[in-house]
Amino acid sequence: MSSTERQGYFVRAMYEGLRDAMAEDDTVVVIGEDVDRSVIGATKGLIEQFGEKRVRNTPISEQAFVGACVGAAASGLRPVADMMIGSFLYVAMDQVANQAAKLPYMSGGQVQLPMVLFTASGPSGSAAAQHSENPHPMLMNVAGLKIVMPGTPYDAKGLMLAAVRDPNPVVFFQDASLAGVKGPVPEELYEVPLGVADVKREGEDVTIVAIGALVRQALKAADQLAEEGISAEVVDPRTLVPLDVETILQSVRKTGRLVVADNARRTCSAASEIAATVAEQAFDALEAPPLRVAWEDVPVPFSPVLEKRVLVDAAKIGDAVRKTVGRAPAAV
Amino acid sequence: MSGNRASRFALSRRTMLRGMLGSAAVALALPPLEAMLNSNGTALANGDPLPRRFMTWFFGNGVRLEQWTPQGQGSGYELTDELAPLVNVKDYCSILSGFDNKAGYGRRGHHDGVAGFFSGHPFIEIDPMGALYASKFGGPSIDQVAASIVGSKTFMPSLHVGVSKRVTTGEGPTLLEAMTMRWHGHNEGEEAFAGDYRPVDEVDSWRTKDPIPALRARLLEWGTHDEATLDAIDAEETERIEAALKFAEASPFPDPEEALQHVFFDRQVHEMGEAR
Repeated sequence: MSSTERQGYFVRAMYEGLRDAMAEDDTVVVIGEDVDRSVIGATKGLIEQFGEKRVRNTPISEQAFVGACVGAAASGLRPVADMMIGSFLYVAMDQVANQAAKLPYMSGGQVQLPMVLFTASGPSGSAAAQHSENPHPMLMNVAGLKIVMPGTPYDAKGLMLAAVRDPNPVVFFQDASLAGVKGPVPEELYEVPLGVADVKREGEDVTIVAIGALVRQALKAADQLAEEGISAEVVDPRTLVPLDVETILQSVRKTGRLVVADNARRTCSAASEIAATVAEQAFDALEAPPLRVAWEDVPVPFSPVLEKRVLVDAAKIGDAVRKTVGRAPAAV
Repeated sequence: MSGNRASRFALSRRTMLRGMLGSAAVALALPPLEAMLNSNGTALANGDPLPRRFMTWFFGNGVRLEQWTPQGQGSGYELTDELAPLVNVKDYCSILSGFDNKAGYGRRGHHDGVAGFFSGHPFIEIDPMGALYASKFGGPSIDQVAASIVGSKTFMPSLHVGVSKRVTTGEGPTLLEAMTMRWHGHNEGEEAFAGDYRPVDEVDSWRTKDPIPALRARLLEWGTHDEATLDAIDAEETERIEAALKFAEASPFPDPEEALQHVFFDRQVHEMGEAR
């Protein structure tokens, strides 16, 4: 079996990236709540391979262990913290936004802060308001944090290695619904560079920029749209900071239409930022207003029917595309 | 030990060990309150015997033995100068002397003293992590041995109070560690694929300390509630929960548009709720 045919789960691809990073650099340490047994799965097996000194359980205090990471990173380690649930980033916000993100800048670039915070995040099916957040948009706004949000197991493995190797604080979002998704994952060590988007599907009529778990939904929508004679190109930014603006602009200049699908609330979403950037820099190429497909501006509800109303799926992406090319929405 | 200091600084046993110089420590159970006793203070108000308590106290500065140890034996012993404050309670006090605890000798006075006195084991030296010296007990202290046997009969197996020179002299921060138990991992289902969260023996031993059944046992022991009353309270609560579940299961799913409401306080909804 060639390496490209090897299939792996998303969350285990993250593990492999972490494992490779730890194997190549003794200063990489993993900490977090129950990382020895791993609640979500990305750290399972690390303690057996690298020992208790490099894989450490912490008390349930995100503020404390992210703070410990900042100190450890400033003094020579490469800490990787498992935040477990994206909503818990809020608990550690001072350390994330005010310490980690600011220290390199405030030291005039003298302090390097190589640390990674990774987490399962976003909706996972009736996880309700306090366990479904995807706080990547507000972290994009902080300045000083690199933000990774892959959509495939292949990218998850390669981006994890790149995140750990990067000399800056990186927040790695694993959309929770992707944990059990399978895809090609090569056995060997490889890096997917930060700041390089990937065209997941080529098309002519419309560009769909899709983030995280919505890459799969966009591809699903594109299949349906193809049957209706609409050719959609799907661009996966893979990292939101730095954002590969050039690849997105190139695609929009080709198709003339833009739909951005973001697994977050619409206001000040990553979709808002991307749509605005395209409007500023490629207005001449646009044949229709850019559209955002994002959550309603409410907390994620518990009830399945309410959750469906609020969140983004392939059907909503498809309807946005139909609107931008002047077609009627699909009959439900 | 001054009472004020003890109440202001409640420390874990581990912390106490770090700063043993000039410190005292005590392990005790909650005392019965005066109002719970009979008029002579010799039994509980309902005639039941007083619950047994066990308390240890250590102070590390030593005594002058010739002014401490009573002369003579038996109930008619004479208080020495240093024991004179016990004059009003002398008849309740037994003074035991003549012990020679080998575990209390040797390497590091105060560390030897407290570890030897409480546990009978020589202390174990540990990495002081920048401090001058640090140690831990070589075995369980006698209060914890007692608590492990009888502790399930009280709300808490034991309480610890200490005062550390580090704290009173402002030598720096001190970490307090509260040892508690959680039955499950981060979600109750994870044991299915990740295995037991804690060893079964450990969970079982903590189950005996669960405060809810312990409170029930205590209420029965005190005679403030009988079995029938407590069972009725349990049944009532179970019924409330079952009724709420039935209501939820029988209710239709909400209108999807409801998802967009109630992000902010809604006076109309609030008033409807009050009217109900």
